[in-house]
Amino acid sequence: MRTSVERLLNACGLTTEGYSSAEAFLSHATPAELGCIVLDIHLAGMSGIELRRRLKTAHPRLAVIFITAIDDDALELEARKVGCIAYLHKPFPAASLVGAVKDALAGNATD
Amino acid sequence: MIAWFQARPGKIRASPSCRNASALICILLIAIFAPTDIGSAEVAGPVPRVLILYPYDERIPATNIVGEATRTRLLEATAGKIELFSEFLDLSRFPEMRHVERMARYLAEKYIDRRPDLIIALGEESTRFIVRNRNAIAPDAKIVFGGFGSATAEELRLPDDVVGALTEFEIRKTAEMAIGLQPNARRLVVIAGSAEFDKAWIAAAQEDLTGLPRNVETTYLTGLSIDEFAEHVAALPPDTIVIVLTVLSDRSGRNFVPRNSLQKIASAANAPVYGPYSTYLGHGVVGGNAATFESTGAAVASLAIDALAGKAITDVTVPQSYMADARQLRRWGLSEADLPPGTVVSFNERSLWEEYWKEIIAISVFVAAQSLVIVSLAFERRRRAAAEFQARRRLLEVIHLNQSATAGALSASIAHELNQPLGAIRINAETAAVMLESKEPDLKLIRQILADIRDDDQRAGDIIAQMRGLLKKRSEIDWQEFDLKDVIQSAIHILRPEAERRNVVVSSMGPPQGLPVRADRVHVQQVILNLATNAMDAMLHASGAERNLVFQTTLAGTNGKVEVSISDTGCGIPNDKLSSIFDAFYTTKPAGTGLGLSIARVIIEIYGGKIWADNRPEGGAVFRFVLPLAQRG
Repeated sequence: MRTSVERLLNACGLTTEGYSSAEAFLSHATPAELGCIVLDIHLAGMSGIELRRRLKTAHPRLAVIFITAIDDDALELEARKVGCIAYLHKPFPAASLVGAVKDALAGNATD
Repeated sequence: MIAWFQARPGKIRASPSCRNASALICILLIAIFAPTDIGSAEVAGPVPRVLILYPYDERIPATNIVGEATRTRLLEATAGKIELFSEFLDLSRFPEMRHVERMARYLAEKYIDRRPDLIIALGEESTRFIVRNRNAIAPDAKIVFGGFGSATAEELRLPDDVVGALTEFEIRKTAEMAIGLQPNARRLVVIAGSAEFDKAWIAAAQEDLTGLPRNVETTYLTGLSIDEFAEHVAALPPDTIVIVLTVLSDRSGRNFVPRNSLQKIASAANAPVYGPYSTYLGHGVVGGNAATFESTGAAVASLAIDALAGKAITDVTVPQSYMADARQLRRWGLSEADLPPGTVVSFNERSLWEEYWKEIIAISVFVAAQSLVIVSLAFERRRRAAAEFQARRRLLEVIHLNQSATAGALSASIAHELNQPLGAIRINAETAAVMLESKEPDLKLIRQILADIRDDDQRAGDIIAQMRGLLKKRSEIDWQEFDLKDVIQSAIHILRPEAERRNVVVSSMGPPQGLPVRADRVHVQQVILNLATNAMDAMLHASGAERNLVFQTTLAGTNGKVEVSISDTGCGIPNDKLSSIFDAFYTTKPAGTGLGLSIARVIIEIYGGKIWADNRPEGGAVFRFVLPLAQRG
């Protein structure tokens, strides 16, 4: 899934970095250089929501797009509470992700 | 042949003749020296030779019956230690003197080296023959005769040492038998032919029948032709008694075998017919009083045995007996109960039922009871088989319901599982479309995207297949051998999304080698899912920070079993409930059916295993089950 999302964004002319887990992101990425994070909620180890919670203090303006395969109202509520510019259910149309990412990069994200 | 019937009618000899006085002394002497019982006197010394003389040829039944009865009795009494010879003199067909002399010479020559110790002469002709030729044939032999009456014996002027079994005829007894059967009869018709013998018979009968009940009017019918006899008896009222003595020849001079003339008359008669010969029986008579040929044979043999044993013997009278033909009794509507006591009833065609009704009832009851038992056992067996089949089917249905419930509970998990590859497929497809719109599409990358699409599609297909396995309905157990570790991994795979959603950490441990078991894979997976979802539910409200679901497999000792334990870090089970949680409808969950654990137990027991629960010392519960390992090889 991650590979396909990266390929899509690359095809749209965007540069991407991929990490297989929240822990890998925290130890290797430099969030300050990022314009937007596409985050799966269900990760092995730390969940996407927990990662977002941690990033929020240091990088409150970093835009986050959650993607998930689970259709769960409580989960969506929690995700929106920690803050995100989009919450996408898999499978979703490519345009909705690309649109959300472009919105985030344009800085007109509202959270 | 005819002569055999010519036992002269007459009164019984008034007393034993005085020639037997010396025999009396002999009896006393023997009684002193050989105080054995007379009936079964053993014949001492060398095996005695006995010659039986038959008057006619070997195909005449009357003499044959007497001869056979004699032989049988002799062989019995001597335990076979006797030499028996038979000669058929054929004097009926060869009555000429020349033949008689030739026969005497022949027998004298034949028995020159084996002189008989005793000669049995059957019938008047044989007796006359042997008395005349005894010196040539067997000078020292004793002679015993049988088959005729005392009148004939007197006529023959037999020497004192020729002793026999006399056959007497008492026509009065026959008449009394008839009156007993037909108490309402007022007429008695006695029939005889025109031969001298017949006439003598009539005279004897007239003498014998005097003094019958006065209300019975007796008529003697003689001097008629056979057809006139027949016509006459046909016109008689049914309450008449008819006694046929003998018709050796009729008025026209026609000669008859008495049995045949009797048959003609009896078949025409309109009233019951009686006769004083046992040979009449079966040829139309209701019955009569006579000595049978068998008893004649037995009496002759007894005399012979005594004579061989050296005992003195005197003439005996063959006991007479009443005999009756059951068919004739029925024909005339006469009652068997009115027969004199001891009457031998022949041709009794009583049905099997009449004859053996007790046995038939007993056997029928036994057979019926046995059949009933067999049928009920067979029925019970079928009923039980049907009930077992029903129970098995219901159980499988319940298991299936439980599967469906599990699938429902895990549907979010399953949807998540499916949405992963579906999501990837969609993104990949759209990415490929975007790339194809550029001027120089990276075909290598597009090819890679298409390969990923194909792989994700495969993944989605696998998830659906797994789902179908989870929901597959069984009408029969699908026995198969599989690795228990594979089933646990497959269950973990199904549960993982749900576990992740609930922040439950799932892990598994076990020996490296395979754990083959023989069961229905879907059922065993169902047990594991039931236990695992229970465990996850138990951890839902647990206060502990860690939520661990641990699957562990261990080989249970050396007895070829595998133990699976599923432990959680939940709230545990109240100790007093540990034994009842596997009962049906036990539940602590608001939405629970209370069937999950009881179904788990049923499934494990089907496959020869055992399931139980415990609390872990460090908190949480552990469910364990053991299954027998499949024997490989």
